[in-house]
Amino acid sequence: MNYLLFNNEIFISDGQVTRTMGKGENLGPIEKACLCCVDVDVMIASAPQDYLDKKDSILAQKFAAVYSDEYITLNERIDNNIFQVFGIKAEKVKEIYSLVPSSKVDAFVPYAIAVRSLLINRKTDMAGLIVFVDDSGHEKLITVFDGLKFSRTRTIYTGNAEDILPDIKRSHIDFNKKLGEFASKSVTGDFAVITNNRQMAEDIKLSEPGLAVEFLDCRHPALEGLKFIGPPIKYRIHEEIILERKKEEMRSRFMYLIVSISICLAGILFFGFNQITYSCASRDFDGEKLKNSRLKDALNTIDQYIYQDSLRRSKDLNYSSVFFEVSGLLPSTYEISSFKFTGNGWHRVFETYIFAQDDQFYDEIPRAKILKNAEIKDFFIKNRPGKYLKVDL
Amino acid sequence: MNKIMLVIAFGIAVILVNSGLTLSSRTMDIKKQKNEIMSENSALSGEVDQKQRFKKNVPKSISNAFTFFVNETKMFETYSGTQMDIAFGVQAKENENIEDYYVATGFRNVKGLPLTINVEKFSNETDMAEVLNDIYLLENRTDFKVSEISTENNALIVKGELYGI
Repeated sequence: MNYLLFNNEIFISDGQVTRTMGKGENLGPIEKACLCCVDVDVMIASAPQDYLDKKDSILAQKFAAVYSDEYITLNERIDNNIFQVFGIKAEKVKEIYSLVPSSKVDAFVPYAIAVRSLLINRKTDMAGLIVFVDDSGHEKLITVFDGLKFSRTRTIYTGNAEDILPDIKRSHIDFNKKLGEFASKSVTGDFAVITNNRQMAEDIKLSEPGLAVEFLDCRHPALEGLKFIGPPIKYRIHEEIILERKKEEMRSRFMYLIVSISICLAGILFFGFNQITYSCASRDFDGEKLKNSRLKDALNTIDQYIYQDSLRRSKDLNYSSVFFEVSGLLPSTYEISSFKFTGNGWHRVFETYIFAQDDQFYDEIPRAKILKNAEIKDFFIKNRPGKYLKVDL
Repeated sequence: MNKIMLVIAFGIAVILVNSGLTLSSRTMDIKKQKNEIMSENSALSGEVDQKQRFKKNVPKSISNAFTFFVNETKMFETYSGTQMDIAFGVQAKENENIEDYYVATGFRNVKGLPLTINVEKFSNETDMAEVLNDIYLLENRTDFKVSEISTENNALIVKGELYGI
């Protein structure tokens, strides 16, 4: 991981060794990087915290109302519905991303946030106002902190404490004015100075004995602070945001497309399955119909050729023999009144009504031969007693 | 746009599912009909197998069968003295084509002509037995099939059908 500080010069650290480079120089291979930039404008503004989209839009509008150039802004919550907005000129962000591609940047924060991270990490009491003076060689960077809030970082090109002290006080006054209603209640007018230059700390103490001055033993506090950045935040240029939105839109459209295609596919599969099943059933049905038609045709032909033989086989009943046999078995006292052969096919029936001849008795009808299983009933026909015989042939 | 696409996809899916359900219903109907026709085919196959056992003869037209039948009755009248009055099974009008009286038979493409033979003036059983024998012979020599023989007012009524194509 590389840590970079962009100001008039570029400070680059691999976590151990820090080097300074001019803007035109090649930064070398960078895999991953955390960046901070000094040239950041800051303002405190209120916005509804519950509506994220609205909040960002309102804060951007409020920032644009104060700073007329094209800025890219980030914001962080300071208090209920109170946000600190810090913007970097879009041109500056593009310039930085031209040196370190956005895809390789994990975090890109204002210089003050990097320093604040270090101060919090070093457990510095942030309850009161703190003026932090960063000695980065021939430049001195002055940033004022009030808790989480911080001022715009001023760059001073002077070396001695006597010259820098008025700038420290001016920065403190300017910041207090700017904070206005958003200033912490604990702010009383006193402030502490923290610097990473031991000599400067002692000189300031000598020049302003009542002022609390503290020495921070860190050569490059912003680069060190970048190591402790909490949730990674990052400035992004509009083109990148648009590209990401397009990608997101494409991803969403693709997802919708996939879901739509899946729904259609499910419908197609269901329809296809039923179509195939229907086709198979229809084909089988047509086959059976054809077979049925052929069988009927075959039977039509067969019936025409076999009906005579079939009739002949069913004509085996000699009515004369049956009549002879029945009349031969009946006692001579009986006479046949009427008879009937009925039936079709193989089952036929012979029925007859018989009466005793005049002055003759009704003798018992023998149950022999053809009359063995005959149905015999007594009858009255025209007031005359008689018998009914039914023989299954 | 995405929602429109989704709605269109849903619409298409609904149409396809609806069509699929219609097809499914039609498939069920076809399967039901197929089962019915399969069982019918099975019965028909059995019938074909059964009928293959019968002897095949050249079919006779019903007109020829009728002519032959009438000639046979005349022959029996001549040789046996049995007077047979042939009438159509139904009340036929004068000058009417007998083709109008053809009926379907148990054989496919084979027609039936319902006929009635009236034999009158019997006095005793012996005559009756002879007549019945004549009926038996007539039935066996022609394509006439007796369905009922009965006596009515001292007359013999023979009902049946003459077969032919």
